[in-house]
Amino acid sequence: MPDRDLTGDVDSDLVYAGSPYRVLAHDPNGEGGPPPLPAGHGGVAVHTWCPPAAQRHTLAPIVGVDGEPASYGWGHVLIVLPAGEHLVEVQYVEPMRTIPVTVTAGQVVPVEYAAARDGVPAGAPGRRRPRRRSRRGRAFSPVGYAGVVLAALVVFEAGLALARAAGLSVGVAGVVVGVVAVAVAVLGGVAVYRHQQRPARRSRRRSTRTPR
Amino acid sequence: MTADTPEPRFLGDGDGTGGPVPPDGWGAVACVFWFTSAVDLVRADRVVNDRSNYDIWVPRPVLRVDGRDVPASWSGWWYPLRPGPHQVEVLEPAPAGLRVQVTAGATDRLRYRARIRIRKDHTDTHILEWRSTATLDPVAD
Repeated sequence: MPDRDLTGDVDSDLVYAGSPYRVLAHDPNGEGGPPPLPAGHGGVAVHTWCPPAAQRHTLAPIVGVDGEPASYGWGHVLIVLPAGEHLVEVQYVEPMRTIPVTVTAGQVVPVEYAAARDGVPAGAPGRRRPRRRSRRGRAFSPVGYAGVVLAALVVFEAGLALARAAGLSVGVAGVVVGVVAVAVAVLGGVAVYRHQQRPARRSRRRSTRTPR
Repeated sequence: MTADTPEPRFLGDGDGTGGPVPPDGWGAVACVFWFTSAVDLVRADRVVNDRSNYDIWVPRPVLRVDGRDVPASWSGWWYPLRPGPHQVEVLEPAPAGLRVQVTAGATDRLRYRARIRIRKDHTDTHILEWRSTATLDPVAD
């Protein structure tokens, strides 16, 4: 592609290193419209952006055309392409989107990509969404507290009744109830701990949303 | 190839449905191509760290049907084929093949899934090699 055709145009900082395409800086609201394009060429004006709520855990996607990379980063670029049918692709860990675009000579086709708010690649069929509420939150809900108090009362009363039926004194009954209560508390604690640990470990391994 | 040979069709993102009904005397295979990718940081032949691959472009899959190159991308594609047995092979990024019995008027769905691991040096600067595994499976309707 001869340089004189693109005089005055500025290569974008967002060009993917080694891209076979000419990727220009682009201001969609700029004066004078798109820059002059080489004969027989048009362009795809790609705008990639990320919702503020997702910026903490989302990195920029790579945009490519016809299987080759073009740009990497958030913002506006203009990918110069020969007129014809092209496939514009976005990759971020996984294939995110692929759309067919028809480019005509001298025309610029706008394409927009917005990251998902939760920033999780969702292309995998059957991939599970991250939990909205943690297991911890559920285990220590008011309903859970009420259940624990009720269960303790039931154990206490049942122990007393059993001790009376067996003809034991109140002192011995107290010891029996205490032993049973401690055993229930330990088993319950272990169950809650395992309940919390198992899904947390799995989601950490599967997570792709905070790559470093 | 005759003039009325139907062309492969791009199906877009999705599960490989939505392709056309094959013309008379033809069947079809629809395939969805998908990958997930990660980077392993290697020092002295040992993986010392790993991360998701958010910055390295993954080239398109290379597909051959009965030894003939056909178009493909990381999305869904529909390929018209004559009824009978056909050999479907993906060469890149990782090899996987399947023998498909195509019936007239029907579209068999396939799913290609590649797990790509890119090995880089421990400074995360130079790519050492690509290690990928893949599966090509029929999808039940």
